[in-house]
Amino acid sequence: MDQDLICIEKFKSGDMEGFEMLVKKYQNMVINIVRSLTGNAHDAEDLAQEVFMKVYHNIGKFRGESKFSSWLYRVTVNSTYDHLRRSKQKISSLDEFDNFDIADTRENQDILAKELVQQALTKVPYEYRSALVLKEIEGLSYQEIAESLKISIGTVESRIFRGRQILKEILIKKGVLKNEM
Amino acid sequence: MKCKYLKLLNRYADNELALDDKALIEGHLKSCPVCAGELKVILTLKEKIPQNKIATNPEFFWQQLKARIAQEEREVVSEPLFDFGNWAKRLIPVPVAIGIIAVILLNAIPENRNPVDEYIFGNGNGSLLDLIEEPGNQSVIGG
Repeated sequence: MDQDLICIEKFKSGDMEGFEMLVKKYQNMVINIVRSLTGNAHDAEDLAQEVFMKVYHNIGKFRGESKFSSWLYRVTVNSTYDHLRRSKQKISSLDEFDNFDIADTRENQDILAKELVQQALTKVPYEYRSALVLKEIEGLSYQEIAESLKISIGTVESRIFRGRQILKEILIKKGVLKNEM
Repeated sequence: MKCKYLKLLNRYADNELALDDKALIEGHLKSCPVCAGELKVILTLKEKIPQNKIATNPEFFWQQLKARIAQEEREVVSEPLFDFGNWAKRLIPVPVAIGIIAVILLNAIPENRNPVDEYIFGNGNGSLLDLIEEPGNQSVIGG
């Protein structure tokens, strides 16, 4: 039997240790996804706690038809969406980075480029962004993304395609990428 | 210029193509500068998206979460089945508001004047009481 399912059964029968094991196994994964989706490192842990509170309350709805991790990806993506919508969080504008006073070393330029890509990612519409994050951050296959987000593989493919197109356009506009086309 | 293989490039870059299709794309890339350029962009994007791999202290995170769950459960337990105070807070303003509106309306509506009462008990000219009290008028009443 799958280790996650054993933990879930344990938890459902009232043993908190089952839940503790799930939290400790998946907390970094959840924090990383939240952080990439929001572009906000400060709130990531708080939001990850909210995700696990939802898991705590709704684990009864998990039927074991898919992997627990797929279910958790979905809860994470949906909770983050709710959070962003609720808080109407101001996502840092790319323009804020134009005035960065940073020493022109290759290492710093690389850090800056990554920061710009991270911020540009938060400008990509959420449905494309979530597919991209699961692909690039979690390294999921199209099949796994489809299962997690409950969409078809064709939809995953077009979301990743559109997401990259938009990201590329933003980064070309900001001069981070050269227009090779 | 668009190429019909453009969309497949993402699958190629993500290692999502079957071996036959992969070979087809690799052959095509040698002769198509548009697709070669696009693939370069996709690979750059893949490389630049920060991995954000941070490792938090699992025990600290778990203790915080456990405290949050305990706090939530304490709140649920302390919440009585029927919270009269809460309902009272919600319901009391309703009769108070109705009362205030009623007082305002009653003051705004003019008194219901009965012309006979007015004439008898008098508040103006030509009251019947005046007629009775005036000696000169008694003969008139008596006929």
